[in-house]
Amino acid sequence: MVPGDDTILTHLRRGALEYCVLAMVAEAPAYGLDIARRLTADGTLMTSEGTLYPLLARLRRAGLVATTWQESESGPPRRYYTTTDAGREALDAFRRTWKPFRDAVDTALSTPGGAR
Amino acid sequence: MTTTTHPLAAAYLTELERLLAGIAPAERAEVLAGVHEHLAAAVGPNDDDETVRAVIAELGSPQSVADEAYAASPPAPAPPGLRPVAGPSRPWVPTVVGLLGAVALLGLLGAALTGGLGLVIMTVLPASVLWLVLVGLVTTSRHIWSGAEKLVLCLLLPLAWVVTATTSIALLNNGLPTDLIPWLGLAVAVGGGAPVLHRLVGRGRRRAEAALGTS
Repeated sequence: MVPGDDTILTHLRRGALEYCVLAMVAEAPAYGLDIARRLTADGTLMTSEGTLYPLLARLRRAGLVATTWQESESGPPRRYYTTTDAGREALDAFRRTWKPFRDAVDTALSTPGGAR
Repeated sequence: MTTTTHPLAAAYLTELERLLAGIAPAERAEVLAGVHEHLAAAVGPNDDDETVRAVIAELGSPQSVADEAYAASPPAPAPPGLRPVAGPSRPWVPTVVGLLGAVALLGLLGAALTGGLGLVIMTVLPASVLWLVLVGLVTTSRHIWSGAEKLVLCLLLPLAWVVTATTSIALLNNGLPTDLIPWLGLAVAVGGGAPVLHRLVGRGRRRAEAALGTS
């Protein structure tokens, strides 16, 4: 069976999306709705906002994010997600490996006959 | 946190909870809490159905959220004998309720119109059976109708009958020709019952469809 764009995209996201979320909350703590809207903005990283929440649950179970409650001007307190030390380490590791990986894939895709 | 959850949002969360039945309880609770907070942050207490439906559409179907949850975590073994109960909150429920209600209403009153007492009694039993099925569907449905709406749906036929009977008696006492009476009763009951049934069924269908992430 030939994988379609959606199948391939799902697999690619599974490897990288968690680190995109980590990078986002490492920059500044953010609450769920905000993260979801930013990730779905161009439709490439994520299309259904709801799928963020199982991902956040996984990150929290793995000890890579923590949550705090903060007051908001427009209503009840909100749950904010931040990175932990372990989360920042994981993010750094991803940054170290992502660029060489991305470059290698680009090279393989552009080399006629593929790299060996 | 908003003190009350919009019925559409509550229906979405109920469906998601049902689909996550195979996930470990702690993680299931966490995913549901995240989605609940998302809905609470995105929907204001004065927002109408359209706004809520748009937010739910952006969330994606409960199935896609559940798929994501199952993809990375091995499902917890379900306790034997405990299966998720498929609640009748599907869009076909309001449609069937509407059909049962319409048939029972028209059947009973049609009999009063055409026949005499004998025909009426003969149709009371089948109409009552239809009505019992309707009451069963309405009372076991979840997050389609509010408690007040369910009560209205269940009382519709009895009320129609009472209105027809009392109108007829009142008119009889005022000396109107007897063959006019059933028509008046029919008009009062169907003229009142049918629009109410139609509106509540329409509302129910839209809510059930929205809850499933379809539109």
